[in-house]
Amino acid sequence: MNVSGIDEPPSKRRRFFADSSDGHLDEPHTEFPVSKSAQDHDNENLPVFSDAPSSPFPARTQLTLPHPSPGPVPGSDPSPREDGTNQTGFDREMFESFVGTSVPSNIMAVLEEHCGNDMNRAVNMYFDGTWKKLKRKALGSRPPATIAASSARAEQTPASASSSRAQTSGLYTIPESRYIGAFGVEGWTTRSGFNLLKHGDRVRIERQKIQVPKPSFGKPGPRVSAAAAKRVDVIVRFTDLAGREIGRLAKETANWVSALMDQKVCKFEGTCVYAPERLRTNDTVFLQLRCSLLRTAFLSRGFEASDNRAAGRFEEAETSEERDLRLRQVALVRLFQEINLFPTRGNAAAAKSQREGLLHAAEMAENKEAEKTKAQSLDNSAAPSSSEENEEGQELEQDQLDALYKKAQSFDFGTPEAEPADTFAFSLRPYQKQALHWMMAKEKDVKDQDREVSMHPLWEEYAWPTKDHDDKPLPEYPDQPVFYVNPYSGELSLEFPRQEQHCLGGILADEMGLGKTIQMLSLIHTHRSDVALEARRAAKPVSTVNQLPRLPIVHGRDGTIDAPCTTLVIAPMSLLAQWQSEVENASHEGTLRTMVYYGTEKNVDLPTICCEANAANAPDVIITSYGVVLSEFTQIASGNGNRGGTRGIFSVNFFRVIMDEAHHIKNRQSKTARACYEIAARHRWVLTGTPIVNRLEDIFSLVRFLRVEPWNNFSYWRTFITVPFESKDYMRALDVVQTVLEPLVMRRTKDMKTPDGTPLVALPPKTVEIVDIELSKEERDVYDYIFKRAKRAFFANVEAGTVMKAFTSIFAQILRLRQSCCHPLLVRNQEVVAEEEEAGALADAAAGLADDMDLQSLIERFTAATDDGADANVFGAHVLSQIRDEALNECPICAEEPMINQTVTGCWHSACKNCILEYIRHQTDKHELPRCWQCRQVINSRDLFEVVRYDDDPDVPTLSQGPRITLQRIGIGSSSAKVVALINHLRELRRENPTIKSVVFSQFTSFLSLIEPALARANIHFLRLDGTMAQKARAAVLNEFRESKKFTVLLLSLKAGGVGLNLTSAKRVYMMDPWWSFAVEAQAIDRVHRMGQEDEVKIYRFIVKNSVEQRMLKVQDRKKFIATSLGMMSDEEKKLQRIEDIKELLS
Amino acid sequence: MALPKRIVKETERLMAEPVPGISAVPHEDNLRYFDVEIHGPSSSPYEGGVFKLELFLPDDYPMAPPKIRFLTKIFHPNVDKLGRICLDVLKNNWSPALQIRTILLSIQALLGAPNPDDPLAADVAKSWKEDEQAAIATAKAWTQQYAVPKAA
Repeated sequence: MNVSGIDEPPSKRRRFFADSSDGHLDEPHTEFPVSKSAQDHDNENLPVFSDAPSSPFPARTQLTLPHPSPGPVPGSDPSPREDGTNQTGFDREMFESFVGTSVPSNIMAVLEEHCGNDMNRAVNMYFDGTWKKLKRKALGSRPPATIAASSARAEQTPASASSSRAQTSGLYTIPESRYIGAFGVEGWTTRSGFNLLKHGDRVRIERQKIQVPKPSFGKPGPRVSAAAAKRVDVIVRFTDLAGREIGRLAKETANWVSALMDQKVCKFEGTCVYAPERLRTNDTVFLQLRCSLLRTAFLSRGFEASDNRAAGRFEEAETSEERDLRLRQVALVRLFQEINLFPTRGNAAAAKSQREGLLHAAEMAENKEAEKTKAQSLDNSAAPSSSEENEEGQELEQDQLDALYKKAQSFDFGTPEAEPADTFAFSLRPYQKQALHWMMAKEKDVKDQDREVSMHPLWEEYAWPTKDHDDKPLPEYPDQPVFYVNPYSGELSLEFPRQEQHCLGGILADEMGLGKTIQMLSLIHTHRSDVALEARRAAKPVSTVNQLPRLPIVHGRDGTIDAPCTTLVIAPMSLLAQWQSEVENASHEGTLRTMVYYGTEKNVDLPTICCEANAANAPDVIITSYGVVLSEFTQIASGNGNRGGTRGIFSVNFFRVIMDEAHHIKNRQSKTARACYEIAARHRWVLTGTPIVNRLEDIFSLVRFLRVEPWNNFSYWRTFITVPFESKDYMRALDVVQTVLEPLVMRRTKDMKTPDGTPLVALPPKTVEIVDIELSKEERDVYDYIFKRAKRAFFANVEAGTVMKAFTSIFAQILRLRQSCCHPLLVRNQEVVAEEEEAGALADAAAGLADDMDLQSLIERFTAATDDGADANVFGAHVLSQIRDEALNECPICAEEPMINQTVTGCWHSACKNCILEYIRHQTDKHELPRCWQCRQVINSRDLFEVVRYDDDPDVPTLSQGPRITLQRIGIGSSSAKVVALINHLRELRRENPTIKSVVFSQFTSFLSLIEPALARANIHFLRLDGTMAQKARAAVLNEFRESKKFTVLLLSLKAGGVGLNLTSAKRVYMMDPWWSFAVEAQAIDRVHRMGQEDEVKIYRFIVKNSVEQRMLKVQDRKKFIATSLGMMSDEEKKLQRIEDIKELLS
Repeated sequence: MALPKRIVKETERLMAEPVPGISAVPHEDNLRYFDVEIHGPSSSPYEGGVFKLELFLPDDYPMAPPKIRFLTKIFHPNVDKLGRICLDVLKNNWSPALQIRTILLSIQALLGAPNPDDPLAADVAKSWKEDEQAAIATAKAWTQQYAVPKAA
């Protein structure tokens, strides 16, 4: 569409129409009686009677009102009602003479309000008494803005609404209405007759009267109820000048025209373009509507972040005010579409498609609202658990995420640096100093001078038309060439809408390993509150005044007590100890007091020790966990909600709060997130390496915690980000997100390079290797069995159409399938397993064999027997010692040298383990007995023993004959293929490097338990950390691991160890099983490969060949299947997506 | 598919330490395919002859035995007209511990000690049993005719 509008159809030409009384001067239809022009106002044109003659809005600027050139503005000198006179518009004297009695001025006002200058109607209304119904509503619903308008106009001075947004201060220069365009509409008649309407006749456009207004005095937003009533009927009538209804506008148009009229945004004036000479009811007539924006439109107080807190801790439903706004928004967008008005400046690409998008968005919002309300009622009643709940919003595709990150990462290397305070013990890298500078600036709210004042992303600039639709010039207001529209909210403004930010904090989203903690600590050191500085200057440990800390008296809002010296750090439980030690390491002795607020140490009175009176002794840093926050929050919520009554976190208004690993609260509906939102603090910071885990809502939660206006209102967020995103308007949604984030986020990545080309952080290289695991036959049998069962169940469900219902059980089967890749025992009945083991042991006892035999003792046994002179035993002893010696020989089957996992048969012949197994399989497949390749004895597959040499174990003394050797039975009783592979890797590693440390991750703690005995048997020192351990035990484990000087393995559950931990003392990572999204694994890997790591890190991922694990890697690649949201499916579509993924897994 | 280490090693060793009277050379375009020459053992009807064979290592080698046959016409009770060889280690008695070298040695030994009791070529075996001298003469004649390299 051509924006210039040159080729617009004539019916939509812009018209000059400053207001009605000017209009007649230019009006081509001269038969239009001039004298009527005075009456030709609707109520909006009239001065509105102010109930409060002294305006609450002070006159501010001294600019004078420019009068429109063609003529005086009618009603420019209105008098307040109290004067009893009213020279224009509704003629009170005339009215009184009509009704023949004196009418109280308040009734008069009501009539005027509703009839405009339609004297006929007013008289009717007066006599039939309908005004009484209208009266109270009209008075009550009068928006304060309108009052402001009238008083402002009355005083001929600019008025400025006392709003935080200054946009309304430009109001002084706009006449009460200003022409913006014209468009053609259809109407249908409601009466019949001749010559009721002919070409060129003017018609009045009126709203249906509201039938059931509810009186509602004194409450904020009384308009709401009226609006609710209005929403039900949208009928817009057109009447002839005598006030007779001729017809109505087509519903399609009336829908939005009514909203604009109801909300006093526009006024419309019609001209008949075509009407049949003889009108019959329901005939179609064509009208042209001239539209003028009303002054009141610019006054309207729009979306005043009517915020979350009002709704308390519960999710806000859309208020009726918000609904009004939406109607208005849609109507405005439609109007601009109709009159072909395009923004002269905006943020989006194609204005046209954008409008469609907006209309669509509004529609979606409406539908969604219904759903949401339902969900909410459920939500509130069924007190949601703190963990994963249904999350809204679509997941981001990887490329979208990339695009977003890329935008958010435009880090300027020219950013100034700041030096940390001298109490800070570390030295910072340049990029960290830049972050410090940025954070200080954010906290002190220093406006970045370099930053250009940018238009608020949601607003668009429009030029006032200079010509009307007949190409007649319109009066110009030189200082008022443009106006601004927020097409998202329907707000209008004359003043440039600036993007502002009032958040004294932000998001530090550096990638893992760039030292977020250190940067934060430098901030804690460098920016302290004045009170803290003062207290420090006083320096005396306990001043006389403070010897007895008085009851704190400084109260913040909500009855919290200011803690001006204290920074609260919230971190996952596993990181508490690490935070504490880092705080201590980063600070010079005694410059920072820390306190861990957790468990029994929680037994303190925070308000007392943190209050200003105790500033000299208050802790500088309090470290606590999300769990503590949640439990204290739950306490308060279940109590009376009085913060002051408790002595915990919520009773204090901290100087600063820092949320580490903030993706913990990515679900805004989780209780933990809600709890965190409620923490009171002056400065709010969020640390996370992954601000978005998989959906845009993830950021919302952070923004909400940061209290960034107006984005912390979910409806706002949803309307401007979620909805466009879900309606596939990705670019717009992401653009907006970027604009929101840009001032809030600092994010650097490890692979970023400084301008001179050196990497930001030189980390040693890391290599990731996928180790293919071949399942043993027994394992494969178990796997196949489970696989077939899962597949059958799944496709049976698909066929029966019950996939959704059976989702949980299907998912459980997938889980078992994955477990069976790790170890068949994980999926087997433990009792059965025990019985089998017992039976096996009995058989061995009979054969004189054991699962684990020390070769040396075997030889000795045979040698001892030799003394009795048995040749066979001499041979036996010889063979056994040969086994020991042969280990370095080449395998007779594959020619590997030395043999890989030397294994001996019952006849004591050696080969690689895999060669023997493959040979046995080969023979069995041919239905032949496997015979020994050397002596042709039949091989009993039960009697295969792996030769385990302890040449890698520094703790085992080497015997004279060589290293200690044992024989371990293969197959029954042995570990799984994965465990064996792990042990082999570790032992190989120990042989090469006897002091190296490794980390082994698995998502199944039960699997870790199965790995333990294997490690013990291989005499490998190991430690274990999982979610069941208490905080203290964790700290002890981490400490021992860090300090250990020998070959050590740390067994970690992916969930407990995936985040935050610093394990740079390890150099190898073993991932025992793949997770649904590689991001989670990558995080785990980054525990080791992070700042502080000095050596190359090698990562081995154990993946079972031809299994569900291999397919999971594919799913990982696509990054569609995200497990975090698997527990609860909120919406069918998402479930379907997962079904597809499962289908792929089972294919 | 990469060549298994075992085949590589065997080939290398066949080249580095050849067995007297036996040569096996892999094809350049197919390293599993060998051109084999076996010299007839002395004091056997095949003395002086150089017998060409082809040897192929199947995919499942060494789990399965190599496939081998004579290309040179030979009069031998355990070799049929197509050159196929009747030898237990090439069939049921194969063991993965056996190698190309050992197999070729077995074949060479078979030339020195024909076994008409376990024949593959029934007619040859019959003549061998009925008139060993005549059979040996025929074998010698065939050797002269087909297996003795013509002077260049």
